[in-house]
Amino acid sequence: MPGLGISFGRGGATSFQQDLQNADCILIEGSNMAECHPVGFRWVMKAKARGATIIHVDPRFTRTSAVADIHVPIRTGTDIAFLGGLVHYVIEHERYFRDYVVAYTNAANLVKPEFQDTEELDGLFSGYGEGKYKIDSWQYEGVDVVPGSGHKESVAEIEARDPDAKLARGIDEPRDESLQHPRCVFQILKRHFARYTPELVEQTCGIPREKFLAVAEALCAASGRDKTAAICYAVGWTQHSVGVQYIRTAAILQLLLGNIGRPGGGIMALRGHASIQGSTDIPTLFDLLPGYLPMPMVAHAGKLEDYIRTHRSDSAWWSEMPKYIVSLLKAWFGEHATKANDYLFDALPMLSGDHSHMATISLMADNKVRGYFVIGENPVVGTVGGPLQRKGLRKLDWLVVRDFAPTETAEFWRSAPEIASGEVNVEDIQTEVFFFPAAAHTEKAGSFTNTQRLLQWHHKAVAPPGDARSELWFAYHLGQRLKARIAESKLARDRAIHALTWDYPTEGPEEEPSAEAVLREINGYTVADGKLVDGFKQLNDDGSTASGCWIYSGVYADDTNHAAGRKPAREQSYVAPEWGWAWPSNRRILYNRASADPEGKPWSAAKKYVWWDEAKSKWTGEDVPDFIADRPPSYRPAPGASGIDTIRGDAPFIMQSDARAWLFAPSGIVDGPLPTHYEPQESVIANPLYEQQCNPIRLQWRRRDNPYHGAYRDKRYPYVLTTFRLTEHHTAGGMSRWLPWLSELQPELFVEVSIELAGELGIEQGGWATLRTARAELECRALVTRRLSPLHVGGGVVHQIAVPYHWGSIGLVHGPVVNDLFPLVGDPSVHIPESKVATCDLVRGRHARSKLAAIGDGQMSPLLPRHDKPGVGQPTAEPAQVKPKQKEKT
Amino acid sequence: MTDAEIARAHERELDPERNDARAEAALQDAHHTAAAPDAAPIGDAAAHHEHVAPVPAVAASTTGYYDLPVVKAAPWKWFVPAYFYAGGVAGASSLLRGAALLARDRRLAKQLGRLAFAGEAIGAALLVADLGKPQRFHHMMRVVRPTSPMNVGTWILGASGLLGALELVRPSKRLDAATIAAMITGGGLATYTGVLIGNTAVPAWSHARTAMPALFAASAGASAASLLELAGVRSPLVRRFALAAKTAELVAARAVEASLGAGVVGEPLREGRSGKLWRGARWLQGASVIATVLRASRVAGALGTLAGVMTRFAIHEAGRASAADPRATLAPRT
Amino acid sequence: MSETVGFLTDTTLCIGCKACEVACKQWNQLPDDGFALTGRSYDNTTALGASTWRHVLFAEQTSTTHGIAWKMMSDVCKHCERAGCLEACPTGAIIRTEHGSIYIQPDVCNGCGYCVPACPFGVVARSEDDGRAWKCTLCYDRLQGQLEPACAKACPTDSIEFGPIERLREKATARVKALREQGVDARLYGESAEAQPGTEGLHAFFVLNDRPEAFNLPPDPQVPTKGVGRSWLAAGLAAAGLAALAIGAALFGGTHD
Ligand SMILES: Nc1nc2c(c(=O)[nH]1)N[C@H]1C(S)=C(S)[C@@H](COP(=O)(O)OP(=O)(O)OC[C@H]3O[C@@H](n4cnc5c(=O)[nH]c(N)nc54)[C@H](O)[C@@H]3O)O[C@H]1N2
Ligand SMILES: Nc1nc2c(c(=O)[nH]1)N[C@H]1C(S)=C(S)[C@@H](COP(=O)(O)OP(=O)(O)OC[C@H]3O[C@@H](n4cnc5c(=O)[nH]c(N)nc54)[C@H](O)[C@@H]3O)O[C@H]1N2
Ligand code: SF4
Ligand code: SF4
Ligand code: SF4
Ligand code: SF4
Ligand code: SF4
Ligand SMILES: [Mo]
Repeated sequence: MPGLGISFGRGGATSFQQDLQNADCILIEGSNMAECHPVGFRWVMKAKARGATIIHVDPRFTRTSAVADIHVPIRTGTDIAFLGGLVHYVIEHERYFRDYVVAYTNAANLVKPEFQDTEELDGLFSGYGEGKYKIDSWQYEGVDVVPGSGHKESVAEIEARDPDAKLARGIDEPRDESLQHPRCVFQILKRHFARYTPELVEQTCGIPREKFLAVAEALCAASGRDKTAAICYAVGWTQHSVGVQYIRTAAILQLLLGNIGRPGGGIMALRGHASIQGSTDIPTLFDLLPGYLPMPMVAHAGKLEDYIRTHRSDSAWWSEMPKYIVSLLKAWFGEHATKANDYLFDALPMLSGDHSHMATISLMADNKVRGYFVIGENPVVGTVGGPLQRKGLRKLDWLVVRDFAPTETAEFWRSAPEIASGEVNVEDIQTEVFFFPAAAHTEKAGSFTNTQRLLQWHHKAVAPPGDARSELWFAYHLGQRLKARIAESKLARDRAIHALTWDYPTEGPEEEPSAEAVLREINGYTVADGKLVDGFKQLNDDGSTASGCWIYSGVYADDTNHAAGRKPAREQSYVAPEWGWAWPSNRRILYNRASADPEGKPWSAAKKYVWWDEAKSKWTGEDVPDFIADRPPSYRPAPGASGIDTIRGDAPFIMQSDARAWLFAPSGIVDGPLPTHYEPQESVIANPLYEQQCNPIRLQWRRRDNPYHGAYRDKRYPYVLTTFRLTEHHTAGGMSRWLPWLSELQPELFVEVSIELAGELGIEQGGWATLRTARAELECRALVTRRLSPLHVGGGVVHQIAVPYHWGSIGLVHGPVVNDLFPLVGDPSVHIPESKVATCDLVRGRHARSKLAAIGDGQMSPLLPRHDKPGVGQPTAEPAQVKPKQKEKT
Repeated sequence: MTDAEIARAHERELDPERNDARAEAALQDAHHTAAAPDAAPIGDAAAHHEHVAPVPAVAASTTGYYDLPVVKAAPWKWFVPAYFYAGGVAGASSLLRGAALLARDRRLAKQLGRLAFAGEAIGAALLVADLGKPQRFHHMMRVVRPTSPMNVGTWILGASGLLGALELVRPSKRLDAATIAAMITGGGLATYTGVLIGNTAVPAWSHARTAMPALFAASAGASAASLLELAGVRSPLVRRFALAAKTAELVAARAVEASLGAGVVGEPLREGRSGKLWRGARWLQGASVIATVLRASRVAGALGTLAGVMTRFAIHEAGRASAADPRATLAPRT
Repeated sequence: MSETVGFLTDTTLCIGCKACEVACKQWNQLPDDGFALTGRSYDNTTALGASTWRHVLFAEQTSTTHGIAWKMMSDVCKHCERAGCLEACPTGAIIRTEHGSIYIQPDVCNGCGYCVPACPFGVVARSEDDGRAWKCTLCYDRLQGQLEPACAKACPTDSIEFGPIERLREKATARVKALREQGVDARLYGESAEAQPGTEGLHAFFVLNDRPEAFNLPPDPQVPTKGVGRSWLAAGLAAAGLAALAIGAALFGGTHD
């Protein structure tokens, strides 16, 4: 999660859910926590019982809103305007935690004179060209900045430009701690958000002034020395073409209020699948290696030295990075990896471009992909652009699906709508589909890394039925067969497989590899004697140590599987350090050095957490201190210092090259150093702030079979469509639509419509309605409800419509695939699809012509007859206007 | 909120009047709560699983939960109302048999004996047929439970069945102990079903828990008499009894209507299928009284029999309708 | 453990996750109620019945202060102090257990269906499939194993609390007082004989954030058997009356007209 990584240094929730009980105010925005994280929500209810104010900002009134003190309906896709409004309020009314801000953030740092803000360039930052940003002008005055996390290729350019540029170390960059200098980050921030007034928030988000002020007051009142406020978000924020910047805005707000690294504070990124955090730590992502080490790029020409020079920072913790990449290479290639051969760095695959999911789909549809593994995913239902997705699958030579039961993805060749409608016939599909039954978590040992970076071990309870096997089994035996297959091969591309250490002990007749052996390798060991290391501090860059994922190093310290720790909370402090194990180093609240003031004393008795123990001259407290254990608050680095010696005694954000939290991001993020409001790809109104309508460098796939609805104020698609989850189902439904006990609770796809819009369209409670976008149309029943209400936005009224996306063609209950409605478009930093917002039309009755843009002739003609009443989000006078291209500056 | 206010709130909570929206509104405004006087569930007025109706306008706060039933209707099939009839006939016949013996009309007594036993036998069969687990019918006599009219009733039915059978094999010639016993169990048989339905949470039944036994008794008499008339039994005793019982039934029916009142609870006797049956039965019974007076005994018998059967089904239906109507259950008790 | 135990279900803590409903079905291996969208908010199982022993209600309401209120409540058998079902049951299939709960013995029930209309809360129902009456057992089997009921175990917010009813009563009273001080329209339902004379108190009682009617709870439920004495008296008189008519018909007017 670069949003958090870039701001604080680590891509993970800064806190843990049990700690929410200590919050004095909890802002839940972009998440329907009660429905999607019901067990974690227990702690929100505990906070509420303690008198905390619970705020829910959501387009819909949900089960979370039902128990919140304040529910704020918001226009989908406008959270940056709302959060920016809060930032403006905090600065304007001087409600920020000054001591914290000055000491722990880069508020005082001076930025290059060349930097120009969106306010000056009407929606663009300086450095824009050919659909991307050059970040030179975003740098601190006189120094370039290497990010601790996020996109480093940007820095590569700087380096290419100026090899001996001075890099930020957090020691001698020019700063103005009075925060008065016009080019200091604080002043830039102030100017940038100056226009985000309550009035603008009202115009943009449709949130009444009073409601906005109520939230602002509640948050400020619950922040400072004696109080803390927490923010919880999930995919209501991330799934936007400017999603990462949503989280950046929240980070800025929490830093100004001094809520990071302190009990009851923080930003809880509520992750999705049981181990989705794990799948970014040890990534299933195309551009990362384990532990957030960047994927090698072709630019590095396979030279470890270049790779390190690009990504290593001279200062703070990221200066240790060479130890982690070398230890990783040792873990993977064992004795084959030597200093002489660069530890086989050049055997790693190298990035030549965007290989994200959406990019791959579009390549597939263009016949450029031959084979495809789908393991523990159901993209035909779960990913936007379903029809395009299926088009791609139809062009593959082979498809492998591993799941409990055949999913819509495995059955794309017979259960897809275009098959049913006869537009495509089965005979014409050549793809060979292999389905492998998968073992469930109860049928295999392993660990989950949950939303709060907590590794929890699960033991095998029963043997998997029949041919069902674990992922571990599949990967291990596939590896063995590949090794055997290419044993004789001298091809360069096979070197990696040749050299791969693949010697895990196996158990039982099925030869199930030992998951604990894998975890031990991940933890790391000294090569000489294979002794497990106690943590990443013991890793080296000379090939003497190996570790599969440096941030997990320590999970197997002193030869015990700490992930399997099960000491109940009631038998220990609420932080429960002996329940499971959290990365890094079993810390539960990250950056917790910030819970003490620069002198190392708690900011207040009420919010005591980690502090400097003068007597023992070490850091101590409730949690594992997130700091160098014995480095006193008074420590100041020598001018020439480098590496971790540059970390000042009063600098909690040790991952950052300048050990400061970033209000302003000089690098690491590709779409701007500061968040700014852009409309979604598809919107019913023009951007109230800038000529620039959308994120200028959002990812688009402009192709006939992926049409966008560029026009706004357009009668054809006058409403905002958003999507959500239901407690009763799980994501693409492969795990819930087979269960009668869940299926009976939510048997059918429905669309939530406000009473007002339903009245206008003559749609009845439970009656049929047809929903359509530029891509597809589907029929479903209507749930007419007061939980959705029309918003008054910039003069007009905007109607929002919401659909859950859990249904497909397989299981006990069936329904149309909502993602067929959404296009391929995404956030440039993380390539996440904008699956939370599109423009749509809704009519009464059943009119779907099972017509899909991806199958037929592109853009679909609007459905007739249309309601003639000048409805909502529609122009009073002016005709539909398509935004001229050049305004896109693309 | 002050203690006084809390106290008032509690008061109101124990007060049936709280069904009045205003009263509730007053309470709620007193401490600004989320729930407002006009609070009303969104959704279907009388929806059931299969169909879904449009969003209603904001209803009064006395409506419950989407107008779904609060209590459940008895899951009985047609067997049970049919049994009410058969059992009634049997009970009344046993009584009348005593009277016949008193009047030394042995022939009539013999006929009544047969009728009584037939009623008991058929009735028992009907009851067993309605059970979810007929093979366990005997569990009815596992216990003696005074609080359960159905249990007590089973014992009564059993007893009068035995006496009935005894009568068949050894017809009594005068008003002996066996006959008197049969008269007593017969009386029970004719009335306990009224207690049985009154002893439920079904408003249209429980609100008439004292009038129902009277109706069942009178109707039992009328039904038995009607059958005799229909069978062409020519007996002044029967005619006088028929007249009396039928009139009594008309009166008892009024009493039932009165105890259900003119409000929602009484609706099922006025509206819908049950209403039709009920009113129909009243007219037919009226007509059969006239026919009896005019000595058109077979016509009277036919009309009376029809009326008797319809009355039982009307009451059974009324129970269903009443249970299905939450307003009846949520209405303040009288 | 033969101590009287029960439930305190607190609607102010309910997030409508239905974990209780599902946990109950799973533990008791109950069948589904069919797959049909009702259009009644998020409630698609509609009511307690033979195959649904915990049921979560969703009352969507407009309100003056909040624009919209969405109240959720997990309903269940009340295990009444005076239980209509038990007192009506002719076979003695329904018993009060050592835990004070009301339990239907499936091996005794003969499916007469009389308990169904006898419940003032419409809880118990006769199964179409096997003809017997079913309802919440208060997880009798789990209690034997010192386990708390499945529904309470599953509830993430402690909206359902299981325990000795004495303790639950104190807790509930304190909770309601606190809530009222916060300005929440909270009230107890069925916590004691004084509060609910009609049932002489429930072993599964509630903290409600609305009128009972909003959750389809009768404002003052009456165990039917309370009036059975009067009914029997009426029956006696009616029988006597009928006898009088018969005897009268025999004695007055002779055998010839
Ligand atoms: N029961 C259940 N739990 C789940 C899942 C499930 O499928 N079922 N899925 C798991 C997974 S994979 C994930 S990622 C998480 C997701 O957890 P959530 O993100 O909480 O789930 P969603 O319902 O997708 O989205 C949350 C809310 O975002 C709102 N929303 C949409 N657009 C916007 C916007 O522009 N701004 C704001 N402020 N809100 C917006 C929607 O109305 C919705 O209520 O849940 C996890 N937990
Ligand atoms: N419009 C719209 N689209 C969305 C979203 C949205 O909010 N709106 N949310 C997005 C988000 S956040 C997510 S995470 C995706 C989810 O989309 P997907 O991940 O495609 O959907 P799932 O149903 O979670 O697929 C997981 C599959 O893994 C299988 N599975 C479970 N355990 C195992 C295992 O141990 N081994 C194997 N081999 N298989 C297993 C399950 O049976 C299931 O079929 O949907 C995304 N799509
Ligand atoms: S499903 Fe699992 S992960 Fe999700 S809330 Fe429940 S317990 Fe937590
Ligand atoms: S609620 Fe109904 S079923 Fe439960 S004990 Fe009371 S009367 Fe019996
Ligand atoms: S149905 Fe079963 S439990 Fe209910 S009353 Fe009859 S015998 Fe008793
Ligand atoms: S106590 Fe047991 S049976 Fe009763 S509702 Fe809870 S889980 Fe179901
Ligand atoms: S489990 Fe608890 S919170 Fe969830 S619905 Fe049931 S009672 Fe409510
Ligand atoms: Mo997710």
